Amino acid sequence: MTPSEIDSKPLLSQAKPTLKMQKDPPASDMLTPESKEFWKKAGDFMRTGSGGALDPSLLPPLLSLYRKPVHIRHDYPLWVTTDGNASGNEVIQPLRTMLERSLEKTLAPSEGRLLRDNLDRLESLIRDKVMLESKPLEGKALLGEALDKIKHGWNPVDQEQFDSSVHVLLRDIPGGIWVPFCMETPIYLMAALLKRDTKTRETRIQEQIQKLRQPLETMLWINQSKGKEGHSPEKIQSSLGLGSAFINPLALSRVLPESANNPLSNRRLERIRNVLKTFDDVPRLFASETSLALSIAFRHCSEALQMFFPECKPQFYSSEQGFQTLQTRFEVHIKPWVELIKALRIGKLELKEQYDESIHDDYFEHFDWKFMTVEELEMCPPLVMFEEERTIQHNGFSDLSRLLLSEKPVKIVILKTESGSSATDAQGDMLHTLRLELGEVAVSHRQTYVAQASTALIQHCVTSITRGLNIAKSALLYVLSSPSWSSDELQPWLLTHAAIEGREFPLFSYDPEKGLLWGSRFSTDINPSAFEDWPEYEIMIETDAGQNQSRGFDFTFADYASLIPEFRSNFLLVPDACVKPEMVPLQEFLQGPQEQYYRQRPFIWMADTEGKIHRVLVSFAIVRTCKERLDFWHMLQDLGGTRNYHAEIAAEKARREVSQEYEQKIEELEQAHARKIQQVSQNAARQTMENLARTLLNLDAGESVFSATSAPMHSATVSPRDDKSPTFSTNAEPESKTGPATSGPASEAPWIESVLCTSCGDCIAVNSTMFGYNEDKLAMIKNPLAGTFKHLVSAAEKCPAECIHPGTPLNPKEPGLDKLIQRAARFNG
Amino acid sequence: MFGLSEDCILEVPEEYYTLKDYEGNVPRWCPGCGDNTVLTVIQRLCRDRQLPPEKTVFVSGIGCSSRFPHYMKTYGFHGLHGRAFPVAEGIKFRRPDLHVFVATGDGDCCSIGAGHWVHAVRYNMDLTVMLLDNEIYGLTKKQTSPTSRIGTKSNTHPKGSILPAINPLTTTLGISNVSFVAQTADWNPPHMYATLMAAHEHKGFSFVRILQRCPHFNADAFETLAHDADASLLLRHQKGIQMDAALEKRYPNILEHDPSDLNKAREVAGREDKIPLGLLYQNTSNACYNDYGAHNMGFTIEQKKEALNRQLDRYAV
Repeated sequence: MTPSEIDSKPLLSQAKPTLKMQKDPPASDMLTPESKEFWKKAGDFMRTGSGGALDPSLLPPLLSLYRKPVHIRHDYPLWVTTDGNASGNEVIQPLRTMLERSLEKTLAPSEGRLLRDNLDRLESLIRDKVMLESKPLEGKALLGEALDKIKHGWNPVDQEQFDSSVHVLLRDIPGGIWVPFCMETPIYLMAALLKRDTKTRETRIQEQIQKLRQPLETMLWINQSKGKEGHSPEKIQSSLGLGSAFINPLALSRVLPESANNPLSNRRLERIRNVLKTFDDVPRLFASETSLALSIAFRHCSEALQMFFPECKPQFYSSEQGFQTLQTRFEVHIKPWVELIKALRIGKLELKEQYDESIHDDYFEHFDWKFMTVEELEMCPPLVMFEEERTIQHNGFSDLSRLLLSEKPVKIVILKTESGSSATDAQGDMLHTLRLELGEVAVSHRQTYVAQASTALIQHCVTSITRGLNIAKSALLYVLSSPSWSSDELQPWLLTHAAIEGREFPLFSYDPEKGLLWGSRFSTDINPSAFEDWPEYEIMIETDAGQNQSRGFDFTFADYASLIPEFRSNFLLVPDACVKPEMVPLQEFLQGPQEQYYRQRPFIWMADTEGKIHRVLVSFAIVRTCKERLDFWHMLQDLGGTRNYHAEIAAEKARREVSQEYEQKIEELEQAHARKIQQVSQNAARQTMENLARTLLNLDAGESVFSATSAPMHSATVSPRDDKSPTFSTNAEPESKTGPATSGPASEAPWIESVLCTSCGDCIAVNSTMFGYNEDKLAMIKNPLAGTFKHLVSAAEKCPAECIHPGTPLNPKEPGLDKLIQRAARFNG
Repeated sequence: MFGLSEDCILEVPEEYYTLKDYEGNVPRWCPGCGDNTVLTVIQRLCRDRQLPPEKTVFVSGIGCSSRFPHYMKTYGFHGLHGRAFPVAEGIKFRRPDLHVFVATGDGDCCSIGAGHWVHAVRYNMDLTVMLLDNEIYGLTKKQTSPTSRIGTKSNTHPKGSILPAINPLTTTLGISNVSFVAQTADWNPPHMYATLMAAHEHKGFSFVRILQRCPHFNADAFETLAHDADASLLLRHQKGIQMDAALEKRYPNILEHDPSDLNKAREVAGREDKIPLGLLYQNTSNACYNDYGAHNMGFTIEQKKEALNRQLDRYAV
């Protein structure tokens, strides 16, 4: 999987500047009667969380720019290959990536203009269709349908050109399906990855088998030749073939001595035969492999899953049995694979003649999956179970815990579909109870790979699933998919994204095999603004003066909650006339002290369909949940090291120590420096005095006063300039040959410098099968064999752009070639 | 943030136009006529810009080149001799949403239509003007045109023309409010494409003189120029016409010319030793007269009816 375009793109800050802010409150505290009435009502609302009724068309400012029916380019639908032949990163590809890669692979950059021009349209047609159906659709059929729709109504010539590129494109595309953004997306992703990995596993196992099979079979053959059977008259006769006419096999059989080496014992023979038999069963084992076990709630997926596994159906189980049966199911699942691993091990021992019946018989009798090495476990297809989150909430929690503690390498995928209703039990109000964080609980089982992932961030999701499937330990993948509710205003993947942005469902991974130190195993880096409390984004708004200005907004849990229909009563729009100075943005309110609760009123910004951004009051229930979510997020930040309490304290301490150390060092250096200056100035004064005295004493000798002092000046002499400075010799470098390559010996193909063509049609008039137009209506040679050299030469002569180069004749028997070659010469130069 | 980025809004136009969607009647120009090149280049431009044919108009006067609208499958107006500009201006004035192209010739523009030419430059309406200049009257079979060089032998001047030719470039550059003047040639289609593209993108009266060969009636006029790159002077500037480096190399004479310098443009346009190819002058800040024409664009039919009735009511008895 290549890094998704969408994961890595920067924030949209140049969105259309149609947003305008609600005016700030007046400075005076005077309240109008209308305002008084509103705030009286608002008091009750904030306490009880009822009485608000948020208009569903109000959206957080950034999201308001992407209301339906705006077509947004995103990763979905995904192209998921079903035939298991695709290599690593081509199994799952975002729509656009798939189209671009296929084009790149099949067509040269200058080809397929019509197809390339219509790529956006193709993308849009496929996306609309798959999203409308909200179930997987057969890949090539839909692609073909969309392509047909594009060319509909075109001129036949264009259609023909288009079809020729489409034909090449479709020919090279493997079997696949389009998977929309829906609740079951993770199931299809898992199926595709299982299929890919099964293929890899089979290859690895077959490689090992190949190494063992031949020598083991040779052992059996030698044994047979040496034994009594090998000396039988029949055997001798068959070995001699025609020679048996001259030799009496019966007599020979009688005189042959017994073999010196003892043949293999019967038990050993049987063991080897059993090993070979197990090897023979491997293809059947893979064909009948059913690694997927799904809760009955996903029975509707069976049709789509059939496309991945046409020969065997995934198993469905009723949710009541859940994790209990998975314990026994695993034993059944792993049994044939245990036998295979056993056979591989016995085969190896037999070849090395190291099988000791006194030790190994007993060992292999009790051999099960627990004795397998990590490599061996990785060779066995994992058992994957799909369950809905609500089952665990109801009754499966203890069973799940038991399963994880058993260390069985099962893979459990739990689909989180409800909007933050993790704590839903009978009373089921997520705003008034704490959440059970399933991912965090699973981490506490220590030896399980745990990932909280979401299909909205496809790259992280696929990486997590792949790791979970291949680790030789149990894995719990807690995946947030499409919500069960929908919005008239926003695409479902945006709603899911909002859950991640609003810290409702932070993403993380815990890989127990990543390192010895705990911190190295836990990562929260994938989250948006992983170092901050809430993600902040900037958008352009229009000021009162009509100018565009960038302004930052935080995306809090409350912004996410405002999108959920059942929470709308917890939000209250503040009319323009009722805005008060006591209102503070929610993120500031959350950071403030508890006492503020009496005075301040928290609000979030929300934009209406006209682009006006209003203040919206939030209830205390939302505030509480925001705090709870923030607390959980802080915990994850701490575990993931993005904001670790101990690390921060240690860093602060280290900073203090280092700065103290440096201050001390600076002080010492300054003192030493001062001492040195003092010493130097004393020395200089003494030296000067001595020099002066000496000079005065030597005056009589008639020497110049300055001669002594100026002497050192001569120490630096300027060496004569080297005259051999580099010159710009034309011979410095060997000249590269710019002329044409050595003139062609035998033949030179005809060609047209299409870019210079004036589209006059003269060449086509000469021979319309030899010459034709390309997609830009520029002349090209369609088929050089469709005419004579004479055609080429006369076309070149007629061409006003002189862009036809006839080359050399392809048919040496053409009459009058000598003259034609002469005529062609001036166009070939 | 939300995976939302600048290019994530997918704007897919309802229709896609291929080259064929712009191809009208089969051209009846002579074989080898330079007009064919202009036609194909323009069709490619329309396709690459995806100009809706129903929102595109080609207006012409009279002459060989003025047959242009017949060969485009867009709206077209084959008008009166010399009157291509007034018609085009009328269209643009009331329908600024349309892409208006003018195909005119040396006779149509520089002779009978010269009066309109002067004012069209001054009006600076958003038109893309192609002056297809073959320096001869071809449609009427070889008479001297205002741009025929001195000494050109024709049916009207069998012994050679005696007046110096009009230079359409210096003439246009001499008119007030001029905003875009370029020159290109039919034997260099990539340069012509780039020039016409720049002209189409320019908001205002973009005047492109296209040196166009007439193989039947004025075969010698551009013979040297078309085959000897040394006779041309390629104008190059970062604000000018951008050419492929490989094609640029074919021109031995290249001049760095800043198209915002009007005096320099006039000087280059007047050169007689070398023929300049490229953008001579561009000014994007000039007033466009069509900006003052579309006052009632966006009015509903009801509003228009009401306004009409209000006017008519003034005469009610």
